Amino acid sequence: MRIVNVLQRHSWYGRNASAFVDGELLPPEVRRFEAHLAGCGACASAVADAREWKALAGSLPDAALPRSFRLTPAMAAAAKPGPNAGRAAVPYLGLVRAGAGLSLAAFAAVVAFAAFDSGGPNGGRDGATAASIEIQDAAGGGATDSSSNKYAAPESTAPQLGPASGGGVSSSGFSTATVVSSLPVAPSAVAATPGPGEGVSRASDDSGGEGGLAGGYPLEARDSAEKESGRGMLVIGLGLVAAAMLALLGALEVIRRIQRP
Amino acid sequence: MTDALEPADEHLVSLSKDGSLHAFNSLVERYQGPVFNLCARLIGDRGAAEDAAQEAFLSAYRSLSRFEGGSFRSWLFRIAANECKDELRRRSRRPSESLANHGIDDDHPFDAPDPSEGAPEYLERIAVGEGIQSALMSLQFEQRQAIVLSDVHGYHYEEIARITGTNVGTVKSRIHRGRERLRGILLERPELFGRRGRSDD
Repeated sequence: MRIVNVLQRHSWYGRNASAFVDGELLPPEVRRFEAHLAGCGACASAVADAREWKALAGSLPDAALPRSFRLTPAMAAAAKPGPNAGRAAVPYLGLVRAGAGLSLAAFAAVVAFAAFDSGGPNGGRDGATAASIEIQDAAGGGATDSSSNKYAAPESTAPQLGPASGGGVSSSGFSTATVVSSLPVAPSAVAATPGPGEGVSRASDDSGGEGGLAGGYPLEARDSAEKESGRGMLVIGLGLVAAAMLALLGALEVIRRIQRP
Repeated sequence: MTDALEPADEHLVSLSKDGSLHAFNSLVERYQGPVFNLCARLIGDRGAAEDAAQEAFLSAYRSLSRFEGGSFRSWLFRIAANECKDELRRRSRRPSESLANHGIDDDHPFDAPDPSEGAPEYLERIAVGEGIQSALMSLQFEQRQAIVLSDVHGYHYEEIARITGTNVGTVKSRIHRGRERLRGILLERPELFGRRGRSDD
């Protein structure tokens, strides 16, 4: 314990050797330091070296001026308020800029993914959902083939694309029927889709295995709505984070401009 | 800093704010030596220091309306140090203009020949100056800035804190650590350093 105290005390002298040489210590600290120097060779050597360095640096001649830096009238006329002066005092500006950029990128990526997933090809739905669409198509007399099955039912796809252009995805605007009928078909379902005329029975078998056709629609609709709702919350959350970062960035920019010398 | 016949900085600043380029150029002439010296010590390259110094005066002229009093010299030094940092950053992004390609051995940026000294003395002075500059360049920019302002330009810690936008404790720490590093470097070069220190022991 006593050794620790000695080291801590000695550390204070080591840290303040430069301040002692520069005359930046208070009078009591100077007296304390001088008393210590009398018995400490290491500190005395550090102080001697600091003094020698200071004398060496102080003896350096001024750099020879290469030319005059006077401003010409043209230079003065061209000088307009710029970004240089005084910007060093705002901390974390770079960090906030990076954060704002990342937030915006994440927000844009999620919005794009949500739009693509809702209205684009092969949106990652499960086989049961694909099957339900197939049944709807079949019930409506539409023949299914591999190319038409890659996308949602034609009459319901258009409304689904709305959120993609608007940038917001929410479950509030979806009716149960819309959600179900507008979902895209998974690749596995497309691959398994038989030719015209066979689709109804295969789809009925698949749906029946999960509890029957009558009960399938509400469950699927609820699952889909929950997914849409979760995605919407993610988009809204990321949007809020991005907005907050942009607001912080704006505030720091204002501070930066105010603090210019 | 200015004799009785020369107008004070405050007066020249006031005239400059009113649009007098002549008054501003009087300030330029008054401080271009110290500003270029600061840039040369912080950057370690004559050409880059020249660019930074000119940019510093342009930037000062541009933002003169925001100068609210105090030491004009310190305000100018703050702008110059920022320009030096920008210049070093710019050059580090462009390897072809890296300072490593502008060795200080090829170009003695800091020492003009003194007519009163002989060639051996001049050469020794050049060697010492380059050794010191080389050691300074091994420091982090903030440490170098604090040490140059303190040991070359003679500023007190409080003024250095104002110039660098930090507090006195940070300045003290930067100077202490910078000098410790310089000590380690220079003690390996007894032709430059340590002769007086060792003889004092």
